[in-house]
Amino acid sequence: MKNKLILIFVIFLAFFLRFYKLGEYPAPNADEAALGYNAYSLLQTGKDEHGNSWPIHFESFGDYKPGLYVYLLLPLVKYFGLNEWTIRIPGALLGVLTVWLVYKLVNILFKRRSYSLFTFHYSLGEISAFMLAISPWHIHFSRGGWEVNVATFFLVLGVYLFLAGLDKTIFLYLSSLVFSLSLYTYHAARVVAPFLVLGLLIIYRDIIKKNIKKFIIAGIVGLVILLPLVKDLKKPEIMSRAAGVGLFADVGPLNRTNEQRGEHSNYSSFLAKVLHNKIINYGLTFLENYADHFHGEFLFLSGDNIERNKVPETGQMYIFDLAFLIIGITYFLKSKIKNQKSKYVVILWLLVAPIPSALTFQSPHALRSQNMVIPLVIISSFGLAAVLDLLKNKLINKYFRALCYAILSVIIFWQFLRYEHMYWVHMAKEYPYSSQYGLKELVGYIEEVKGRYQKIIVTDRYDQPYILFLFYLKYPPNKFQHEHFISPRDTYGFSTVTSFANFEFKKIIWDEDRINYPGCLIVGTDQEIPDETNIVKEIYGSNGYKYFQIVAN
Amino acid sequence: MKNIFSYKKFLIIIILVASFLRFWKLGSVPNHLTPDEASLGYNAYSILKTGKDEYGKFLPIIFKSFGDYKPGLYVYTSIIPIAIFGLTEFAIRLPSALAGVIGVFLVYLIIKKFIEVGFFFLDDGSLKQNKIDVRFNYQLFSLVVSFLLAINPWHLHFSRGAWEANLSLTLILAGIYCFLCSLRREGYLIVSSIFFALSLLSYQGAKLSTFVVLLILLLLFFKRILKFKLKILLSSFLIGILISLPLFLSLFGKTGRLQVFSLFSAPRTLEYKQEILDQGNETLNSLSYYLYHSEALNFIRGILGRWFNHFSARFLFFEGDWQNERHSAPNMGQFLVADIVLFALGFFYLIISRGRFKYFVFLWLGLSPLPAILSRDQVHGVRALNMLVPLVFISSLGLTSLFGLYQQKGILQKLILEIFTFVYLGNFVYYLDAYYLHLPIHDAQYWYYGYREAVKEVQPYRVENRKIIFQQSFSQPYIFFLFYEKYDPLLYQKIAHLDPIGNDVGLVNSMDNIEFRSLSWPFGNLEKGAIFVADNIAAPGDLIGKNFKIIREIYYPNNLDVAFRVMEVIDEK
Repeated sequence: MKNKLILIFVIFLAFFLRFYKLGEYPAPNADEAALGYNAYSLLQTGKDEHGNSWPIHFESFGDYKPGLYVYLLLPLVKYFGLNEWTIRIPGALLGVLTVWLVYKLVNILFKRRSYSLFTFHYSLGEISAFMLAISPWHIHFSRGGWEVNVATFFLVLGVYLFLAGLDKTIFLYLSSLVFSLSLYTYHAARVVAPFLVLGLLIIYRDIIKKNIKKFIIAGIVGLVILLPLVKDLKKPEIMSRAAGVGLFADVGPLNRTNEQRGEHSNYSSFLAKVLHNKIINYGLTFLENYADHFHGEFLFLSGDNIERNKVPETGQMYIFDLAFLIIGITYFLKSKIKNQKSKYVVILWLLVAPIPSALTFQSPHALRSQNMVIPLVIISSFGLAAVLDLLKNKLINKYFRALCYAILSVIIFWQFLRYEHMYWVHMAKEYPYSSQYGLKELVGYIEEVKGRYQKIIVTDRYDQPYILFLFYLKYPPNKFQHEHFISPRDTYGFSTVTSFANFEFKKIIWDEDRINYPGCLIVGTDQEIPDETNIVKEIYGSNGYKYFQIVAN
Repeated sequence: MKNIFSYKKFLIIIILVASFLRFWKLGSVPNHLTPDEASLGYNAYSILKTGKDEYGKFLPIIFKSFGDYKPGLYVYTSIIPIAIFGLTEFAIRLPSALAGVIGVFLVYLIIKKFIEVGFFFLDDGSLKQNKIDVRFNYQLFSLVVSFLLAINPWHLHFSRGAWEANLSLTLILAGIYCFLCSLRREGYLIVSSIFFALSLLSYQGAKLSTFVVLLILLLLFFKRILKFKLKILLSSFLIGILISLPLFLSLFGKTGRLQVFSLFSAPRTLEYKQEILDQGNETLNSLSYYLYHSEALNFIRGILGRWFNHFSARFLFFEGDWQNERHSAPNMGQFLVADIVLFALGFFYLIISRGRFKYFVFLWLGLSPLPAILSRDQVHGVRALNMLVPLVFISSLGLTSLFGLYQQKGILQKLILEIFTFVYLGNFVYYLDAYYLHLPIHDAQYWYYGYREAVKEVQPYRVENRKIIFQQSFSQPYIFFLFYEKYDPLLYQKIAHLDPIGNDVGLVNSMDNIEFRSLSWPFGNLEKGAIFVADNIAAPGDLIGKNFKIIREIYYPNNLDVAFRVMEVIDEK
């Protein structure tokens, strides 16, 4: 029992960091609400919000979300109802389980070597689990209905089962099943999982050769499970979304090709064509995107560029991880671990993880490359373990050793505190538009007064307001499926619902709308509604920021 | 014997390649001088003719240049080329190109010395007592290092132009080489000290970069240095101090650029801090301020961020110095993209290698961006130039180990290597294309293209003593007049006058019949017959009305955009 104390503590810590005030902070965003409402809709009607029955991809905002998360939500929404809490449980819970799984994974990769500190015994597995438990990258996407976190869980589980399956065949079949399921969860997993599996097969090829039959059966299991997905992916509307964010949607490299050829005296000379073409320029862009994921600014200082994916002044990892990663890599390459192949697994994962986000034009992208956190945390743990080992064995003077332990813990604790401080105190205020703050308050008010107005006009300034209305109103899905109107898809492949029931969502142009909508309630932003109008209510978000002004026209 | 002979042959070929890549079209690519280059050139010309710089100071060591003061060894190195070739682009760029070639040779010597002093092995020092790792051919390694430096885009770029940093780098390399020699023959320590001191006199940023190298040598050879004869230690120390004394004296009193450009001179504003603190109802100087938002933490983040930038793939392989187009070829990094493979291999071999070479490389690599990261620029290709040597060491380690692999049999390995060689050569051709073909067109405006033509164009009016109004800018147009007119230094020294602006650069506002004036359309009172020279922004082609006659439009090499318009006032307002 005593040997398990550290692990229990780590799991408890992971649980606390992921579940504390999970329903309240940050405010749910449109994607989370969509997942929740679609689960609600399925439960009530057997169809999604747009009336498709039991889909594999949910049409939602025209982005055709991979659907596994919604199916995970079904029992939760059924028993706990539709609220902010429930829609986040799968992400947070699987986040905690990932922490536990990483412990298992690392111990199966690097045969449980026991270290001891004072009277505690620990292994690399516990350190990795601890590092993941406090990892900003992992916590961020565990606290919310992020499909990517589920995908990462499946990937870790898949790799773990594969390794366990080398000894026990049943795990191999399960591994195949899990890898296939990961493809139902999130787009990025569709690139990572195949590469990961391929790499694993190459790394363990000698074992596979001996058990070729079992592996073929496992492969068939996986492929059978993939069949419905493959069938669904043939639909053009699903692929068009992928093309919308893909590398080729960025015309920069194409324009550069033309510019470069233009600088040659002969536009279509052999040299100009060989050196400056689409393959080279898009290839270079892909490589640069890929390499961006290893930039220190992204990893340790500022994180993603997208506000929703980041905490102010915080990297995807802690600054101290830089030191641990350097030491870890050195030990990783130098130390004579019996199982060389285990090293390759970690390196393979690290190299594969950024591929999907490098294939899109926003890069680096913390969300799409989230599973990178697993190999990074493992290597970083090697570093921390090496440092602890060094302190224990090389430092004779026990006072000096105690001082070193103290400094190390203070640095880790301080960095962790700073992250939590930035997360809880500053994030919502620094990035007021990163999530749908103010919508809950708005819907709460509108529910009170909606009977008094024939129509309610709401600004579409902030993302997809309609879905949060549905979500907070728990609007009956069978009614919604028949009465809503969807806009055509924009250049990025997104569409939105412009009206349902007596709600209409549009850009507020005050001078026109005050004439067009007499007797209506108009909800606009600060900028859209002039001050001297009949403002009946101002809506503030939970972060104290003013989002809406409401006018009774 | 035969083996050694063939290595020498290869070295000669490498030096020839290095020279060709550095001297070919040196005067015409890049296709214009920067103001700094012109200033170095004219000062050398001035000293050659009169023994005084442009401000009439006799043989200065610290030169006054556009308002700041910089160490001027480069000026002295270019006196002889200018005496031979005249005041031309080629002559002023020659010292740096030559320094580049010498640098290529020096890294070869340095690696040889490293092998000799047992840097690649365990601590004791002689070759005999160690079993050489057969797969790793050290002789080959020293050749590979000089080869990869010879064709390195970053080194080529700064060898082709009057870049003081490149001269300084070569002097540092010479210093390192002589230091390593001194381990066997102590007298070399004095020579080494002279080289290091000279490197200080050639470049502003060298204060830190030379210090970094000295520190590393001191750390790695501490025990050995203690064993030096005291006489030699003292005399080399004193000689070093003596040579660099003028530089240290100049640090006091005059405002150096260091102060203006330092990262530390730009703390966050109080309002900005207050805004952040208000988010959490925190107050200035409270505990939570010191824990989470302190200025020190902000500086650390700033410094670390800049350090990361210099190690980012964006800088090294894809875009180069993204803050200054002049520091790399268009659409190119400081290295070739294909070098990534060599770096990955090299890092691997370096980490698992034994001996002190590893520490030397990693320490130098980690500390060499120091002059760049303490300045305000996010990334800086010149100040971080020294990085390229440890980086080339690492990629060379990768390439040498690839050769080792090639000697082993295996069709797949051979095929992979052949493909890689093909890709690498292709990548190098891509670089040559980017540098020789695209840079002069794509980056012409960043290379100040147009001043040479403009100076030529107004020559007749200079002779006529007509009133000329030339657009003023921080490109320092006056220096191009001095350079391209080969203005008599004796005459100029009498009229030299720089108007300071703030505490940074200054401007020259008039010279004989030229007035340098900030221009924006419309120009204001016009005097009939006056000549105006302005760029396309100050004098947009479609606005020039009947008041002006356009004498000539000077086009950029893309033949699309106008660099300068030379106009004559034909009608007074």
